Amino acid sequence: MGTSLELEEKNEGSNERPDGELDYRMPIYLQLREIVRSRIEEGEYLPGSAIPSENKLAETFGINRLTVRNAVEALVNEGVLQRVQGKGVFVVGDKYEESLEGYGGFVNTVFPEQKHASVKEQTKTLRPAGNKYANYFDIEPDDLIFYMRHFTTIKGQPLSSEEIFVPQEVLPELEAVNSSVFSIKDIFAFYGVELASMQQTMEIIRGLPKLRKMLDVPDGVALIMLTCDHRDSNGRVIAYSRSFIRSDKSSFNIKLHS
Amino acid sequence: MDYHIPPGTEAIERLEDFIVVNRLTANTRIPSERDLCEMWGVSRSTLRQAVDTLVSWGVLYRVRGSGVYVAVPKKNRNMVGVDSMIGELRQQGSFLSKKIISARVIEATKQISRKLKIPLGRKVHEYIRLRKVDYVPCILETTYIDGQQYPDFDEYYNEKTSMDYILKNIYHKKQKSGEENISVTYASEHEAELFEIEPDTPLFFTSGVVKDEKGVPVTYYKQLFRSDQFKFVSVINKE
Repeated sequence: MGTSLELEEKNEGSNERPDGELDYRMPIYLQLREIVRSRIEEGEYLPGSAIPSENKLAETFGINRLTVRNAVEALVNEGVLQRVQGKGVFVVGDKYEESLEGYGGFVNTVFPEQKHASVKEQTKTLRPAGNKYANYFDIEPDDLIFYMRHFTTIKGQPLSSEEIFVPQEVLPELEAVNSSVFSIKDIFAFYGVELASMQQTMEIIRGLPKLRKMLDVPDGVALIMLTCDHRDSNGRVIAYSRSFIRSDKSSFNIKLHS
Repeated sequence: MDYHIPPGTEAIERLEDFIVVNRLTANTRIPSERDLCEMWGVSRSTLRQAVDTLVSWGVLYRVRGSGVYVAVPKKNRNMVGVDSMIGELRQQGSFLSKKIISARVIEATKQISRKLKIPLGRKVHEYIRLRKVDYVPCILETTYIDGQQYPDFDEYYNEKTSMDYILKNIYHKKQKSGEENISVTYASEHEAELFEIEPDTPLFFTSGVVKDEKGVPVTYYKQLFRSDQFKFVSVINKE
């Protein structure tokens, strides 16, 4: 989708901006830290998207890469940025104060804690809703929806394949966001899209040969199909996700109340 | 830019939409592959793939030599609270019955003592029940209760009474919170026989501890659910 290219172009164009100039009387890494911070605040670096690489920043400002690293590290420590192995440094937006997990929901106890899990965004495209998703999202069949597919591996071993559907009008910025770094719930929070409820459904299925092959499922092992409706406070569905998860690599946990 | 839906995906979605729009109910036969191909202008192989996909998701089922039918929806196990599974299922209009397969007093094993936070070797009640939902054996449930905190539990509990009712009304115990683990297991010969299914069929396996308002464990349970009859549903609301 040319996302990273767009950001780099924006970055070059911003060289003339006053906040892009360095004052050599102050520690340079602190100045760069504040430049990156203001670019995030002004919406130049969008939540959920990657900032330019350290090399790129070093080149743009004509400074040492180590200095860039110090500036970035400071913002990582503040929680404003998040470093993702092999993918870059991403802008973290505001999160909802109460995490929805506190209220129940299936949590894959194998996956989130797994430091070695790697999520790849295989596909992100816009497509017409078609009749099914038009009814589902209460939009017109010709309206566009984002379709994303993620493939998750742990230490190189397939774990799950996830598809996410979001109407374009709900979050046009999704175009620029790498949906494999943050959950759709977090991305909604970054952009102030209200998420009032989620309904998760878990089923055990066998799965077609093609899917089983993609996930490298051993013979006799079942798959878990986990679907989730995300709704706003009017009860309108704003996102739908469907995951196929290897049951031999997963176990779920849920908190219950009386 | 020309946006489109890949043909394979479109066929699946059309089929799903067809069932919804025409309000096809369980065990209704859908039109023949040939008719659907003609109606939607898709190839036979594309349509077959779509049917296969929906069969694998449990939306449709095939009957050899007869056609393709809409599947009976699975029952929801709504993860609403610690003590409401049975009531919940009744609310969905299901008829429930249970059979106590085994009731005995055992000494707490390492696992049981850890879960119930009681000393090793303490006497505990163990109950294994097979539950039928709408006359289909669906749930195999094992529950452990501390014999010291709940003396004479076996005097009250039988096939006609409910554990939740006894805990609440005889022992005045509130079941307040719980945590459950869910994974997939496969039916043993014995379990398959009880469930009237083939051995090695995948089942939901859950285990959990229910606690009172002070956080003291009340029961430790393990359950098996037939995966062709149940799906687990969790609704998360922001307050």
